[in-house]
Amino acid sequence: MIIMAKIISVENIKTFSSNTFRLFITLHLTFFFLIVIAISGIEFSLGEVSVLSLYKFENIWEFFPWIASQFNLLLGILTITLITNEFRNNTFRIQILNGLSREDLLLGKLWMIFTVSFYAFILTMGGALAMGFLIGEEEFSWNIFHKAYMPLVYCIQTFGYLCLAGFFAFLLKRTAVSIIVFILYLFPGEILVRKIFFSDWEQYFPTKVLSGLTKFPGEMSVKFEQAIQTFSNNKEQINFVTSDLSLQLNIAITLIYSLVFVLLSYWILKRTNL
Amino acid sequence: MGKTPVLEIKGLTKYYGKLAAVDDLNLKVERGMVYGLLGPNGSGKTTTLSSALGLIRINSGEVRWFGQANSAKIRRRIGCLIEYPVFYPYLTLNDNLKIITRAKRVSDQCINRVLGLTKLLDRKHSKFKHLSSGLKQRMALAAVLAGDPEVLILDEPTKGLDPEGFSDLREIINDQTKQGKTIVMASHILDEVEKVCTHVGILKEGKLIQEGQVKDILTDKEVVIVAGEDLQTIGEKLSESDLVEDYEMFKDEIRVVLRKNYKSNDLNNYLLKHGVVLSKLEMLKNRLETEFLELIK
Repeated sequence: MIIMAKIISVENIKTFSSNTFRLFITLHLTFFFLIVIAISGIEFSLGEVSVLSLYKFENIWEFFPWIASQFNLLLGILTITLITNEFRNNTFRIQILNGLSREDLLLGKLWMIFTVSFYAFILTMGGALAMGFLIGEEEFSWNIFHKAYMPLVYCIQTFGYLCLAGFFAFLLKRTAVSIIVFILYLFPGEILVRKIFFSDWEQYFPTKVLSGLTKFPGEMSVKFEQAIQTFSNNKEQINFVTSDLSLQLNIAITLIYSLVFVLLSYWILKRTNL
Repeated sequence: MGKTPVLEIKGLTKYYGKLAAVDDLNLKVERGMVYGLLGPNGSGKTTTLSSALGLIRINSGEVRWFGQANSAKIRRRIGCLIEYPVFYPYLTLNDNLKIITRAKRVSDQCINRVLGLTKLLDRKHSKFKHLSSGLKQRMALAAVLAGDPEVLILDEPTKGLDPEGFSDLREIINDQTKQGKTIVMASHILDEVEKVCTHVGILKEGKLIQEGQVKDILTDKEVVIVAGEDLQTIGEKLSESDLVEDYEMFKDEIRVVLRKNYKSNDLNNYLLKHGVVLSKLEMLKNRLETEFLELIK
């Protein structure tokens, strides 16, 4: 426990003083609130469905994580940069020399990933609560917490996503290369592989599973689909839902993938000359 | 327990591709030694130290610290400076040292002491990136001393230091030696090694070609550099002389190794007697350097 506290302390000193960390979190925060506020200003309704209804409890618990998840790439790039900087500046080396093990280094980075994921949770939880009252103009009742678990689901999604980003950072070690490969993996890499070779299993692939965790508000998506189809008289099916798996199964697979990425990162770090 | 070597390397081999950076190296450093690891660039000094500390994976061999296999726990008893100072550029010296004290699991209270020892106390809250290269090297020494380690591993510790820094480093090493600390130092500054070290090991192409106490490695033979108008004639006279054990011709001068008990004056007199007037007669002051150059030839 004391050892973990020391590792956490070391990682906190490094992370919170880093300009990269401050910049990316500020950008993420800014983009998130800009989009959230901008959308709230759109006066648009299709039948009984309006944009404002997205800001009402319980929709907002799903809507905010869904919006925030669109900016996960920023958090992924942040994770990659913080890890590859350690290789670039040889700072992993000084920690090994001073008595940390490679396991400790990985635990430190896992703590950083957890911290960023926790920030994502606080952002969506706090943001949804505040905006629900401010924009959704709701009054307090215990019912507003129905589906309030969704920010936690988003936190799990972010954790899995950042573990994947971390894996690329440990594998490739160079910032630019890792970011490019990570982005190429997200689009079109994995999509092509699963569409071409594994079309029957595609819902079990990492990014598919991860994106399946945060959906456009369930009830709203059905209403939106119906409204858009009615409005446009379009026979084509419009689908806001990105995964067919249940939420519980998605969470379980995400946690398994996270573990696999962490173990792979550890395996790589063990074999890396520092 | 007291006789267990601080560091024992057996059959260490490390390849980079097909090149053997270190080849079947055996080395033993006993407690209290100040061990100088010498060798030209690329001889394997840094690879040896990095391998011993577990920074790089070795192909074969065994490294034992205090009789045990290398581990994070063992490394907490060692203070290391490998190659160049590495710290978080955006952090202050205080924060960088906090990372080290926490990694070593020692109290932060030693930070002021080590900054004081290296004369950096007034820069405690400066960011590392704002230090000059000499001050960065001092900071690296501060980090080495943090946690009062039993062993100090110093790879080129004088790099970037000004004369004052040099002198301070010597003082620190002497002080640590008096406290019974073991020091392993890789350096190109042979004068420093000769002044500070009790033992030396000389590496060439990844192999340990000479090892022992400094006083044993040093010989009494005098080495001089001579020059004159006609180097060819000087060379001929040297080859005929009984005073000379060996000589080597360079473009503008000749390096001469005299036989034991002969001095540079004897050589000058001999050459004058044979009608050769020297324009240069310089005794090599650094005797370890002489031996070193001889060995790595």
